[in-house]
Amino acid sequence: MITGTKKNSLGSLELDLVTNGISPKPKITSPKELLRVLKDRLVAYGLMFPALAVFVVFFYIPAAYLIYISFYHWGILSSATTYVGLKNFDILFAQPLFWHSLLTSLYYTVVMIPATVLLALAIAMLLRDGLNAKRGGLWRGAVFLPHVTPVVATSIVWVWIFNPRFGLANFILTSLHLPALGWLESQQWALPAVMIDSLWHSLGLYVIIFLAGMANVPKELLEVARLDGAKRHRVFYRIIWPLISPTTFFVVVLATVNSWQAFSQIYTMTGGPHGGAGGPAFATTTDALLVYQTAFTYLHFSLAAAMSLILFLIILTLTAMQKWISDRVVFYR
Amino acid sequence: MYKQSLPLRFLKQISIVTVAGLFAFPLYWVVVTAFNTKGGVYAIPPNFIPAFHLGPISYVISNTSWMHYLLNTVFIAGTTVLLVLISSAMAGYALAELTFKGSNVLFLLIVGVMMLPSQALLIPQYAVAFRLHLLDSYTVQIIPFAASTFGIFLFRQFFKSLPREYWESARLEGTGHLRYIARIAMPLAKPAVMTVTLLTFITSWNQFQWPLIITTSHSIQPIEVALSHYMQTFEANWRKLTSAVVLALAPIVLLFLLLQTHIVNGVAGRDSGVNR
Amino acid sequence: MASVALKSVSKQYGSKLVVEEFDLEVKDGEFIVLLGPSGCGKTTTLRMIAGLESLSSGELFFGEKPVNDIPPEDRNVGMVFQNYALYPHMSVFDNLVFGLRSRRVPKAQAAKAVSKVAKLLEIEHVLTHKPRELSGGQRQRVALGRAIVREPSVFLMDEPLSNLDANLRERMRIELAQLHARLGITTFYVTHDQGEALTLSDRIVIMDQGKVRQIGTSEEVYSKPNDTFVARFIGSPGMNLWNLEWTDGPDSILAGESVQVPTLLRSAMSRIGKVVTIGVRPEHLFLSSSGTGDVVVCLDVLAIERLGSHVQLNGVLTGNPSLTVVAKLDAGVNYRRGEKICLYAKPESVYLFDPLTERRVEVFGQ
Ligand SMILES: Nc1ncnc2c1ncn2[C@@H]1O[C@H](COP(=O)(O)OP(=O)(O)OP(=O)(O)O)[C@@H](O)[C@H]1O
Ligand SMILES: [Mg+2]
Repeated sequence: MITGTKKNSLGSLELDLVTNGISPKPKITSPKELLRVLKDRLVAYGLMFPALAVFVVFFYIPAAYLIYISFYHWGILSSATTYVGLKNFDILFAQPLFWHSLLTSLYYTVVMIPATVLLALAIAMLLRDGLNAKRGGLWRGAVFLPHVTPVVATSIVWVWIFNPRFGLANFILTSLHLPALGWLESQQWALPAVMIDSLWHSLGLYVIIFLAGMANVPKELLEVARLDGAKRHRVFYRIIWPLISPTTFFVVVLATVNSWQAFSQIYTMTGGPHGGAGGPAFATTTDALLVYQTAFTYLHFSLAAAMSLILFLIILTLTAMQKWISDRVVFYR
Repeated sequence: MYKQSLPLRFLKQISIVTVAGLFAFPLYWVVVTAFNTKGGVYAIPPNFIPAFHLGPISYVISNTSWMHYLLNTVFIAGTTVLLVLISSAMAGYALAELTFKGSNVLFLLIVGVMMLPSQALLIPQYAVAFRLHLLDSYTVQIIPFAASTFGIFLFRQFFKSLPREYWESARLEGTGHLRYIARIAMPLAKPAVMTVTLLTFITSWNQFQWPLIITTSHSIQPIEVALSHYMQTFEANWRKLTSAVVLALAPIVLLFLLLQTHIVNGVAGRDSGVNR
Repeated sequence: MASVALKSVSKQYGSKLVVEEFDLEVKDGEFIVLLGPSGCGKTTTLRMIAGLESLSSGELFFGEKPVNDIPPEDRNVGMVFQNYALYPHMSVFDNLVFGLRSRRVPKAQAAKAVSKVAKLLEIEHVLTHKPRELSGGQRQRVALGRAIVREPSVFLMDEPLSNLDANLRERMRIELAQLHARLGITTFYVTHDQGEALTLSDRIVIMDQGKVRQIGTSEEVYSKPNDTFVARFIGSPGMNLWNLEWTDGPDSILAGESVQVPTLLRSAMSRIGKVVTIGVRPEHLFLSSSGTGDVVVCLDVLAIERLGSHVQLNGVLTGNPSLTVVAKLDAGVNYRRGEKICLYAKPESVYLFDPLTERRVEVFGQ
């Protein structure tokens, strides 16, 4: 196995050498030619510059800066920075709220992923047949529309729906002779309320992704299965599900990363008239929310940075883990 | 593909309509609430038919700075779109048409941005903005979003599909790269321009967290942040609050209704690499 | 206006030699046609002249000036691409004026130049149209116009007529010839249609697998082909070529079993060797002998194609069934499949080639 790969890479290396040897780079024969080559290069770099400048200044430098701040005492008010080693992390790990926020994020994500996959898949299956029909687009549009709406605006709508006294949610519950809930004012139900909003807002995207994945399943396969007399649910389990597994995997990764980073809807739904965001009693204080509050409410920048670094690592680990699992389970054609 | 029995097909149609209705309902509900009568909002059982009372919405328009926030958002989104188009077209062109040293590394830098989790970068991004003395400005609400990996990829792909002879012919005539981009490549790239414009505009319109942390002056804040403040102000007046929401939602929803297919395909393409 | 010289120009892609040691001196105003089968390197040569490809080795001169290091935009060449490459979103006028404006020619002056060219090419009435609203011939003219509006000193055309239907192609061919006569711009013209090559060219360059096989006027390449490739490639159909062993005789020489050639070829043939390649063009074979000393070719008729003005006979040499014979004969004579006939050709229309080098040997030389 190992020798095999080695040989391969050596082979391609040789190939590179051979082709390079035979077609040498255009020779620069005169100063004028040199000037022209330089000018061409300058044009290319010039064209790349605006985009790269933005990426470097606002993404790559911050990424490096994040590591730096995590190990320093750094404040927006005090210009002095001092190296503190792992002290920020020590403080963090001693904070029960930090661990609580991780658990809250975990809870949120662990519920969101299966809910997202199951609901999106079910809706996609439902919409699949009507897809090409003219009206199929209308239903698809209705499901997708929430995804492009501003989160704060629509979260306010959901706050209204979850209003314990006048909200629609409790009206429906009581109409069904179920007990009314405190929703956003209840420790137990606040996060599920946020989840419902999040699902409503994000499912459309995942449905579209599933629909695209299903469109790639060859029609002939389904027809052959039908000719073989397979039952509908067997066609799903034996053909569609395995063939769309790369799509499913992709949805899981995307949903994980998005769920773990959820902020705006939580901030909006649990803040405002209900006091500081993250309540009641920290029931909705997720990782992302705690980072925000640590930095901008309590102005502990270094702590927030240390937390961000952990957040960074968590997301990387989750994605890597999923990749590892999928390599063993997912069926790629 | 399966011949389904009539009741089953009927059931399926019903489910489709129900699901679509469930998704559309909150948007309908906010309109009903915003235009409801004063007592109607709190009626139980609720009033499901809009009453078209324009009081609250005209109050929001005339007695608050709503128009100002709207203009802020339009300005920020518009400028962002313009800059994204320019930076994406330029970089996309360079990657598609030019061969130059280091293009692979630059390409990786562009792809790599997508791997960075945005929440984790918020604090150091704020710190960088602080160091650059950009806090609480229009600039800082625009520049960090003035480049887009998706935009670059879309333009790169598009420019690659143009016949090589277009550039060669222009070159023989003494046309420079910039003139060629502006006069030939970009006008031909209308579909890409359209997609990038729509998606950037929507994303920009929906910005919340970044302006929330980076701005403090109300006068430069966009609509989403303003809404967040309104929530405190109009705490208990749901008609006024939902009126403000309706005003913030209307442009995006209208845009969506007009260009649904384009937007759906664009977003699906951006967020999943799926191009339908 | 400029003369152009290529001095052992070569082009290599990876390990593949695509153009090999191309030597050519072109006089100012000359019309050069590059002719050859697909993939022989015609386009590559043209693109090297334009500067769109670099030379792997060799030198290129415009006038006295070496242009190897001069970028395409500074060479002042006009090029017509096979697919025309008209900008679809621009009107014909904008297409024509675009290059002039790139070079900062003032608006009024540019417009004047465009209208002059439009008049010349008779496309004035379509100036406001978009390319997709034009007919094939009009598009072709616009592409021509775009190339000449800048008054280039060298004009390059890559199969400009190949997208047109047969009738239009013939008409445009004549117009191109007239245009060249009027403007007198040094022109390189790529085609694999020998009809175009023969009518348009001052000189033809015949290429095969990257090598120049012959450079000459239409007459020269037709009547004095350098080698068997050119002999077979020029003419429709190409020259009959037979590799035959010959035996001397008192009155005539017998080559193979069924070809007789006059004794005056003896010295040339003995210079080549025991086996020679004999060539006769199909249109030089006749049914009846015009006198003594003619070449006699006997064949088994395999197929007869009646083409209106003439009849084309396809057959094999009697006794050498692996060697084919094509003859273009007057219409109105009747032949049958399987028939054995003998055809005649004048001694001066016979060619001899060395089968080893494939090069032509002068029959009456020395
Ligand atoms: N960029 C390239 N890289 C590698 N090989 C190339 C390249 N361009 C052309 N070739 C090869 O060079 C040879 C000559 O190509 P060229 O286009 O000059 O042929 P041509 O005579 O114009 O043929 P046609 O009549 O079909 O247009 C071909 O075999 C082609 O495959
Ligand atoms: Mg060619």
